[in-house]
Amino acid sequence: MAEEAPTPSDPVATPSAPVTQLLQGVEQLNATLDLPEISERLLSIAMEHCGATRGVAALRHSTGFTQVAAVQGLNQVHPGDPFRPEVATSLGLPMILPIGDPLEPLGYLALGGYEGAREAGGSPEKDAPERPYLRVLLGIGASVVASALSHQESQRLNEKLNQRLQELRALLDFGRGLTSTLDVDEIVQLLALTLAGRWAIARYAVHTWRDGYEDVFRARGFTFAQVEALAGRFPDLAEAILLGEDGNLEWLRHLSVPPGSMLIPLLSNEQTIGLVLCGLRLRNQPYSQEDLEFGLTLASRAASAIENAWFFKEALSAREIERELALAAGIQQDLFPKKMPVPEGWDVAARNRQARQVGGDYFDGMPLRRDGGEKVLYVVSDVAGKGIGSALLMANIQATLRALLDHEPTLEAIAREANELLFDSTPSNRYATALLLLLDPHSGEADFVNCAHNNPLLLRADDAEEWLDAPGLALGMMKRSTQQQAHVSIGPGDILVIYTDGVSEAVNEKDEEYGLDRLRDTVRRLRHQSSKTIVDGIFEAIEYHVGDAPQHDDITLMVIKRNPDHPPGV
Amino acid sequence: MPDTFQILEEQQGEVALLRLHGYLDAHTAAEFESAIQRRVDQGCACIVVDCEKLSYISSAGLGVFMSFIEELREKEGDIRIGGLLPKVRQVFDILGFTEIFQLFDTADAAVTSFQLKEEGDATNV
Repeated sequence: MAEEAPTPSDPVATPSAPVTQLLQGVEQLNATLDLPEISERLLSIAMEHCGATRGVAALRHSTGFTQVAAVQGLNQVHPGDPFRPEVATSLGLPMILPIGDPLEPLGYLALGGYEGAREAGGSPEKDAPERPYLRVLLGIGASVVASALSHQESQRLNEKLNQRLQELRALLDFGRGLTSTLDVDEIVQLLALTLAGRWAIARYAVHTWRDGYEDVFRARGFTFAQVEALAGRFPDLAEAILLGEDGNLEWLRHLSVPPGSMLIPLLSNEQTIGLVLCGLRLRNQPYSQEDLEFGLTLASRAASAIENAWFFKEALSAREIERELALAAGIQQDLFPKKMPVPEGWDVAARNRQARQVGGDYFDGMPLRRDGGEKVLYVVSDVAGKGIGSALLMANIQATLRALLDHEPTLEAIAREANELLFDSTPSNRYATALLLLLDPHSGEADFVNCAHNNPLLLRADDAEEWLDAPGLALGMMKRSTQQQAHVSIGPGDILVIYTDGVSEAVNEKDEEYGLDRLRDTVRRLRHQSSKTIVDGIFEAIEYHVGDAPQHDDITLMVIKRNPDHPPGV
Repeated sequence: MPDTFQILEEQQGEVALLRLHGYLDAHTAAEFESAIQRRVDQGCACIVVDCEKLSYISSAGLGVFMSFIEELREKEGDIRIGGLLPKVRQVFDILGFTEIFQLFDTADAAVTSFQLKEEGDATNV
């Protein structure tokens, strides 16, 4: 149809020329929904029609901001520049026409260099014949622009919806991934990969820390030092932020972290347990408010999973400690003598029960090699405190006594030497009460040292009771040795009961102690039985007394009984 | 039940070809990352990922692609993708990965694109 189109110079065709042009223009405008293209075409058609050499098409955005969408014949104006009708005249664009409703235009067409008008004197009236055509064109243009705008808006909404959908999918996928791991490294890796994929970022770093554990750090393109510096600068970060918005661009440049990167705290119970640094997106898209929110949501889920993983790890190591304790308990049990030395004419039994896996009570019986190899050292000791530390001190006491046994002339010397050695090798809050008894089984004569220990009960054959006391502080408590040796004769039928405070102080649910009277009565009741029966009988009596109350202390008991039918010196 | 995730690896000249099967998501992304990391540690800079049998990809899976792109491009290499199914490609589109990665209709075409470059380099010498 182009060949039929009348030329503007044809006077006969003139009246119909604008109509044809208009129809062609409408056709062109309707062919696209692309706003820049529509603006371009609208401007071209209008300029061609008026013979203008300069022109600008500007569109108003939903924000109210009007921007140049197309420009012709002006070097100083570019698409994207802000446009204000007031200044258009100064750009040499005297004719300004609203697109659509003049009260609320969708934009403007501004035209100038409008030779026809200038040649004819440039009066506005001369423009008049062009105006109806332009008005119609702009009316049609307005509806095309409006539909393109709404198309653009629906595309934008669609895109936004797609993005939200992806966020939701990423969150769901992340949540599913978290369910299959209790490993902090794996959670950190999953968080990093999810963010990298969601935002198309090639540089990221995740750092999380916990007292007593090695830091977990995973990064691509960032270093530990960079993240550390950020952690120092934002110690109490409570939300995701864009770096550089606080204006400290120089500092960021120095750190080689690009402004616009996102920093997200890993928050668990309002405590910062880590940081996530996200570099710029590869498509140069800035992070939006939604992105900040998404980042914080994902990081929070990761933080609580990390917290759980730490708890799990702690529980695991608690179980490992438990295993090691069991091992220690086994070793400690081996330190107790398998068989007590029992001289002829005597009956000796001992037993220990610990409140925990490893305890601080100790008993022993060691025959001396010197003095004809007949004397025996009996020991009952109670180390202050419980647990591993006490068990170690107990092992220490045993080794010290065994080492000193044949090298010191008297029991007092053994006790004093042991005291000094223990004082030097342990902190002052570590000490042990002890009862050492060196027995000559032939004569029944015995030396003893009481290092602040419970006084042993000596129940004589005639039923009289004695409680063996001697001055002296606990072993390892003071450098100066205070232990003094005392003496006792054990006759036939006498029973010596050495015990720790776990025996006398065993309490029942009414908080009543088992006590020395009950101990003495029990021994009296069983006095004609074997030492082992007496030991077991006292344990039973304690258990009966205590009932369901928990055992707080280690219980150790040693019974040394001189047989009645074996008179001394025989 | 999602398909079991699988990676089949081949070496074609300088190019490491990783063929993915099944679901690449939060459960399997770590495995994929280790597979590429191994190749990168071995000094391989040209990687093609065949996605013809990849039925699903999540953000975490895409994160693996992102994690190597800078390092490989700095070494004059790249990570290129072949044979995306439409559903997976849509995710690439929405998240802007089509602008970042070179996509090919098939893995073979992606492998060839590296080889052409190598030959080009060779003739330039």
